[in-house]
Amino acid sequence: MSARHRLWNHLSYVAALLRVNLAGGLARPLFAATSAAMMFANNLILFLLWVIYFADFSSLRGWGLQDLALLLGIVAWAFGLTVFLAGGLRDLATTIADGGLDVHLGRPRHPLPGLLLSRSIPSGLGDMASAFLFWLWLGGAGIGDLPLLLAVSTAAAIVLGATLVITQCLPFWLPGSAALSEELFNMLLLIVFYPQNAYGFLVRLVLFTVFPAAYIGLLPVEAVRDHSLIQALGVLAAAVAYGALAVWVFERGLRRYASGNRILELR
Amino acid sequence: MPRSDSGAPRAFSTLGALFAFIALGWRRAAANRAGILGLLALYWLILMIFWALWQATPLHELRRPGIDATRLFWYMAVTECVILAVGFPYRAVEKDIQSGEIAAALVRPLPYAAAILAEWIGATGYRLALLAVGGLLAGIWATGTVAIPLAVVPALVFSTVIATILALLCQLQLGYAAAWVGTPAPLFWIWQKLTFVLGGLMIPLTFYPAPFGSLAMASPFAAMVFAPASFLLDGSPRAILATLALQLLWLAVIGMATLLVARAAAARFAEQGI
Repeated sequence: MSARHRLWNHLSYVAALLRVNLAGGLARPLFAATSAAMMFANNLILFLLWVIYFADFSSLRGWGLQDLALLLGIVAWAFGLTVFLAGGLRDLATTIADGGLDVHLGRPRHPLPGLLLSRSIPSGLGDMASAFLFWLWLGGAGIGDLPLLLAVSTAAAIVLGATLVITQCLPFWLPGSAALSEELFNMLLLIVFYPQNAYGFLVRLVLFTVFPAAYIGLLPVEAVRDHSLIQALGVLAAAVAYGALAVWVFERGLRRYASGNRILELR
Repeated sequence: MPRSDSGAPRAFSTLGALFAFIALGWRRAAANRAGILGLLALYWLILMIFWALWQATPLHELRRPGIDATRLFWYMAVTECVILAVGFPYRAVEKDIQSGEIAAALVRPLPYAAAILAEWIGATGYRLALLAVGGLLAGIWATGTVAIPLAVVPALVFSTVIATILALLCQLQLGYAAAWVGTPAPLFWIWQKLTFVLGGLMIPLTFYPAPFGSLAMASPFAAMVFAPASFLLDGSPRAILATLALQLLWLAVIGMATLLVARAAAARFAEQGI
């Protein structure tokens, strides 16, 4: 089989998974619409905090309310896209701990796409919709900025997804760590939703390496603010690098996996 | 011959069962070591994020004497301690309803709501104690001082207990909402964000523009988050008494509302099944 044919075959498989996944996620349209609307409202309420903050203070190390709106929009898009398309990554740690990987390992395909695309969380649509409101109305961006915003935000989604895969793989090495994986997810979410320009050099170093929140929040916002191609390319490069790292970590963890993983969890 | 199911013996037996559930919750929370470690790390991370934020904030623009990054750090240490200690226990009720396990729990002699609330109080108590110590250590490390006046400590502890019980009662109602809406997560997000904004999680309500600040202060969200932390900004006896009175009032109202929601859910299960 030629490389081109193999790639086409793989893309068809992912497209089929996506189709089934999204059909499942939208199977209850009323619930999906309510979830999305609530998430939309949820993001707006969160923005209120910053409206109150900037009613009292003129700036936060050079950032104003519009920059915060850009940040919230980018993070909302990244998070919404990730959970809407690949909601299964939220369950990865539990699946590993419960021995649920067996089902996926029996298939003649790489198990990761099947795992990630096993669930769609419809509230993600609300996140994605709110992004446009944050960017175009509250963030002061123009229609011309949209291609750059969508590019860096989608790259940020890949970094977010990859980081979640890595943290959700913890149960491969550390039995009983599914709860810890969830806390690490909450930590990442917490960091990316707050402006990272306030931190000093050392913290920023961590955010650009070990815990790559800077590629999800800080760098995409700076790329849009400065219309900087270099910064945008930095986010895209991070998406490729962290995506590859996530696959590598998952495959390394898979070597340690035994279907009786549950026994290790209960020990 | 005295009847064993009436009067004082019955009350003692109910109290004994409630204490057993509190102890169970405490032990379960203590046994989840990885989760507790993660929670503590999350708490420290939040405190460090806001320490950096408040240090980067031009606080002089507030024109309020005595308000500095240190004071705001300790304020956040209290508000976040309450929020994180409570967590997301509504999911347990949601799971019980979705799996149908609540049917077995409803026929037990101790009401389901009382049993689960007692278990949550035990678990939250454990996390609260741990986070309080963790917050104290983080605060001393970051700010080099403890910006909590000794005189307000008893009121702070009492107010924190009421605040967490109020939040747990709301979570119980959110869990019961699964009986009507199936998945209460969207309702929870809105409740949580209202707690952040109207509760003054990050910014003290006294900094809010009028009349929004006064409205927020009278809301139940303020009784859950702002109330205990407000003693660090105004520890006068008058302010403490007014805050505690408002908290107790909300405790009565939300307690009654929870009872009504629990009864309505039980009636729904009896009529339509689970």
